Amino acid sequence: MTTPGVSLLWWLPEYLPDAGGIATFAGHLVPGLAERGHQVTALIAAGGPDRSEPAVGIVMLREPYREALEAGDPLRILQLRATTKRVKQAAAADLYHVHLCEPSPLLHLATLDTAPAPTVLTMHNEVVAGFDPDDPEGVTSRLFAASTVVTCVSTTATVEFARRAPRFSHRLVPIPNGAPVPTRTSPVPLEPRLVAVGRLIAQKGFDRLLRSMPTIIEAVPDVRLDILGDGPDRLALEDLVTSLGLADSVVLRGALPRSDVGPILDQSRLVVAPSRHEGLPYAVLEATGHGRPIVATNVAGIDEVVADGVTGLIVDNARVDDDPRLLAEAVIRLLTDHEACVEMGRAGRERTSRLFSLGACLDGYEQVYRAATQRRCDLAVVIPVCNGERHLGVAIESALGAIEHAGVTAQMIVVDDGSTDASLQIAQSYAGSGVEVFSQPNLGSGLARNTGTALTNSEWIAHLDADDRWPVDRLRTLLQAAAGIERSAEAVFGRAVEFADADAPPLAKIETAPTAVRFGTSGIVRRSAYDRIGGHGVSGDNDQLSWATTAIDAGLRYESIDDVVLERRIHARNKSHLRPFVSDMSRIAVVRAHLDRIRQR
Amino acid sequence: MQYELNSINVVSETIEGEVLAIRSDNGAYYSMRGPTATVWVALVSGALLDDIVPAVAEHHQADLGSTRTDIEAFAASLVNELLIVEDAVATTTSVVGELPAETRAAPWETLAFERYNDMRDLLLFDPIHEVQVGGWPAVAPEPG
Repeated sequence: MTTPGVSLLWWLPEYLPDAGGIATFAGHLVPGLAERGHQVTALIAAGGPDRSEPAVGIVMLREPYREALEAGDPLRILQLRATTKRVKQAAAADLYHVHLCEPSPLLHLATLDTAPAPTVLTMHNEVVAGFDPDDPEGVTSRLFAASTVVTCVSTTATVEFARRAPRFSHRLVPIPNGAPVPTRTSPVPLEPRLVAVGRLIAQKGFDRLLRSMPTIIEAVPDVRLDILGDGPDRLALEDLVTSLGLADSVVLRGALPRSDVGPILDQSRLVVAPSRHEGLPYAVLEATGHGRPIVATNVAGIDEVVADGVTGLIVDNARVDDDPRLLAEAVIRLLTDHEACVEMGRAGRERTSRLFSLGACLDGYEQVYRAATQRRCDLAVVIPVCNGERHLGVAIESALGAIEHAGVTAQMIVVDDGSTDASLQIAQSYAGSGVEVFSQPNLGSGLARNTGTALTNSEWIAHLDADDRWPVDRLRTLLQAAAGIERSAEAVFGRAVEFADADAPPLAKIETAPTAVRFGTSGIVRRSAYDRIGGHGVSGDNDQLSWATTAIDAGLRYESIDDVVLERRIHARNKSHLRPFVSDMSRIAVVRAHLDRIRQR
Repeated sequence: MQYELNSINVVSETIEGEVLAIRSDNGAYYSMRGPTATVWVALVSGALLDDIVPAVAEHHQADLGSTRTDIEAFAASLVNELLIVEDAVATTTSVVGELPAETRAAPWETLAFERYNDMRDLLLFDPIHEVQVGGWPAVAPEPG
């Protein structure tokens, strides 16, 4: 689906040629969006002259937010408030896209009334771990509340956000960082050349790599290491090179133009990422895109990109500082096995093309922009699916039939949660019927439901599982009931029946009597209820049970009707058959949380 | 006398000294705390009642005679509630499982479970999604 060009104001902490992951991220995404016909005003929260290359469709503004906030100068902050208003009025944006990495978005919050437009907030890993979820008046909580959609740049950040801020998890959409993958790569050389890329700061762990070099040199005397990047630790690292006697083997190359990095990656045998913690690092994505194997620590973010033993080698982050030989051993292993480097490089490139491409990343943000700026309709149908090719088509068609029968304005979205079967293609085949599709890494049914909720804009939300189906009068019945009850009702629940699929286990119990149940899949829920209570949790097992219990404990105002609104398919691969109740201890956790809540009353 | 969990229909777990149990056939759930939790843990460990009574009495510094009477009555109520069953294969030796540290020395009191039915429809309604190995609910490993 194409997205009409929108006018965007990107609120950024840094931009190329600044160093840093967000600058690299923006350096890929902003030109990519402009090329797709969007107008981007990039407001960079750091003063100084703009040194980026001019481009059609992009306006670069640098204002000294960071300096003023760090100085705590109230007069300058007030002046920046006026500057922000002026920038917003001039940009006349359809949408604000705020990247939360430092406190300057406070000024966005303080000027929400100026040139009002929806806000999309992107959470980068470090911030997800840093905010205080229990402070509803805090900047982050207020920013979440003001954001139509919150995106996270990695699966780690998505899960962490949903756990830490469940009240906003229904606005959450995972969009893993994406990097351009070169169309061609050069062969992995035989020469033992290592490259490490990043800012020279403790987080990147280059000191660990230097401490491992004597062991590497002992095994591979002609090894050479290039470290690309600059930063405050440069002098300390230079001293370390000298004190360890590495001057003949290690070169600190400083910050290089981006165009020089690719050729150096192409000359490398492998790339080392010894970070102490990470977001979803572009240095690693770009190296794998160049077909190079990675030796890295097992920190969040990197572990999504590097598959141990497949696209590189992973070493224990917790032990590397005490024992730099761990890093050395992994590097030596690859320096002495050229064939493994070639194979891991190939596998890494394929994986990055598939999961972390710039095109997919741009597609994801365009879908978010479309969702955040669309008009509100009566009802959204959300179908999460993971490897559900056998029954997905029936589910979609039953929902299309129910929408037509109800005669309401509606949208339907299928959220493909990392399927490896044909689910995605089946969902895409209904594009002509207006069915939207969003593809995300496997995060579980609860987070997939949240994605669908975030990417739609409707008064009511109806969740349908990909192996179930709806009676044709389902939506009309529920919406008519909703219209007939008091305005404040937040949900209407009906009854469910079960039916046996051809491959249902012979001893399966089929409940054909209509059963009342207060689950999202057996009713419709107002979007405002999610705004009040929050979205689904991380648990893939019991996300429906958990949400329903939380909602009822939070005083969900609901009505129940006697009509059958859900037909549940019993088949050979129902989760309840694969994972029998007695082994499902996660229900205990839901019951315990419920008891804790009712005892606190 | 020996007992075991009615594991066909009951799932239970002890968390910070509180026993939580759910019956899958009727959607009821139960909480047990203090000495009641101690006795539950001892009973479902499968030990002989003759071994359970002194262990529980020592755990709560309670009178041996009244403890036995209370435990026998409570075990009968748990059997009646279909939470535990009398063990068909009685043995002559047994080991009382580790009793919850959180309940140690708690004053002895009437043994009783708290029963709740307010989540009946939710606990009886299995969330059904089509899955296969590698699909929900586990995070699928990415093929290389």
